[in-house]
Amino acid sequence: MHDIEKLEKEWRIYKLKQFKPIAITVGIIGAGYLFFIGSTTLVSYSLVLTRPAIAVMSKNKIHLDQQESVAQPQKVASQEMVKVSSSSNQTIKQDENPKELASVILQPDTNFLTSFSYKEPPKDWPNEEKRRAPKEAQHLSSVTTPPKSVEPSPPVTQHHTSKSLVIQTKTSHNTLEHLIERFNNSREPKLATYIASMFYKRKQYQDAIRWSIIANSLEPSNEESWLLYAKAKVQLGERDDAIRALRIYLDQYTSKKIRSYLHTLEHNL
Amino acid sequence: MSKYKELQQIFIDRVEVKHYIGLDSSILFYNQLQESIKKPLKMILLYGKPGTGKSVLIHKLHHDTKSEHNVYLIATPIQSEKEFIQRLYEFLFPDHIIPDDLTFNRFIDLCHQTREKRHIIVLLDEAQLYPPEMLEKIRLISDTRTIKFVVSLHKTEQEDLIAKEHFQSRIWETIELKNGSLHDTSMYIQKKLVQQNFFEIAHMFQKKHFKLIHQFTQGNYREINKLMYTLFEIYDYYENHQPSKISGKTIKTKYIEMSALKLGYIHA
Repeated sequence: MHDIEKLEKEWRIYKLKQFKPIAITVGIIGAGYLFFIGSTTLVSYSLVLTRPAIAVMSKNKIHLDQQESVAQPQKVASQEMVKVSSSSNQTIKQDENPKELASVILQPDTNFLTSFSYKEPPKDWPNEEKRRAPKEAQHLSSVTTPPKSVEPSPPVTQHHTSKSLVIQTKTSHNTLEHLIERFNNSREPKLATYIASMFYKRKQYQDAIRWSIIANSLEPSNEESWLLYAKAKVQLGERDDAIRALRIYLDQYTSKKIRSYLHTLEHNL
Repeated sequence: MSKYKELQQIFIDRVEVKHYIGLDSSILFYNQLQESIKKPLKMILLYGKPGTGKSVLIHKLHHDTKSEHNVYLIATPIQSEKEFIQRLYEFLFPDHIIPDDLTFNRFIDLCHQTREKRHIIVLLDEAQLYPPEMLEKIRLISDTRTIKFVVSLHKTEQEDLIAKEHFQSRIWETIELKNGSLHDTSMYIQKKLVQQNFFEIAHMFQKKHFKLIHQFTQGNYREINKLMYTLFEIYDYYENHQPSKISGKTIKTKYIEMSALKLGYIHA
């Protein structure tokens, strides 16, 4: 047997070495990101500061309609300023003071809201109740019976078949039926133990006991079958039977697992 | 015997037909080999790196076809020429007593005489271990067309040279065995465990475990066996000393890496 503890230490060193380049890379990327964030903040800040200056510089090239800007209120003028920044064909309305311009740039253009004006629905649109009723019912009622005599049909939930989640189940070769069939052919004790454990997991404790007995009859030394038997008995509230069985096993064989579990049962741990 | 000791036994590297695992690639090679021995060839060369499954394949072929095709196997190379010729004589004339004056030339004459009456196939495993003089004799015997040889060789530069020098003109068919794919690796481990009814252990392996094992072993079956043996050796240790460390429902990647460290696939 090799020295596992020494091997574990080696493994720790190995992992440390494995993560070292990753940590360095992450550190470099992090530092780079921070640097980038810092520099972009500086750039944007400097742009905000220099923009009014640019506006002043280009003032001579742009036609200014100062008379209109004086006549209109300050708020309208500021909205117009933002519009100009998005469309070069329009005339720029500009204040004389560059500092005021810098503050105006931050205000959004709200003209697009006018495109969301409310429109009355057409008169021939069906009312809410009609729209909720299924089409077939509407059709039948219009042909066979007068509208007043038709009882309001319950709202039908629309099934979105194209988008619905389809859960497909697939049978595995290791299903219990398959395993039991396989056991009947092979009479393998390990298979019986496995079947017992499957029943135990499914909380079918009586079946788990039955299969652990089958496994035990084929291979009495198999500690797993004894353990499963005892665990299933405990689940059924027959703790004494479980303790008795485990003691019988320990009289004949040695098992750390069984001893540990028996200790747990005896001391109600 | 504890559970993990039993699991170690499964992955002991040995050539046994009952432990043959039918994988996609190995079944393909096997069928190819079966077809080849039916053809009128003097020699068939089966080669590949160590641990690719040549010996298992050749043993399985012997096991499955010995009754139909007069197939004989020499699993361990025979170094003495006299002994080798005597063994071939036994195969060719099973009812005869080996004559005292049986020499190589006499045996060649006998092969020529019986060519129309009887044909046999001799499988030579680990053929790279035969001395060059013996390989030359094998070549001459194959020329009589009474005995067809299936030669299994390790693939190394030097051994390729041997194959070229002695057999190239006679070999009409070569089958190269390669390491398994990731799928083969996972199927190999799963099937080995299920074959021995360790269903729960088989379920403890996940895709990431197979990927890691494949990465360490490159899909070489001998290396997979070694790694799995060491892995269960570690599990056995913890079961006896610190059972809480192996209480999980899946295999721990850490222990696979520890096994790889132990076997020298990775270094701390």
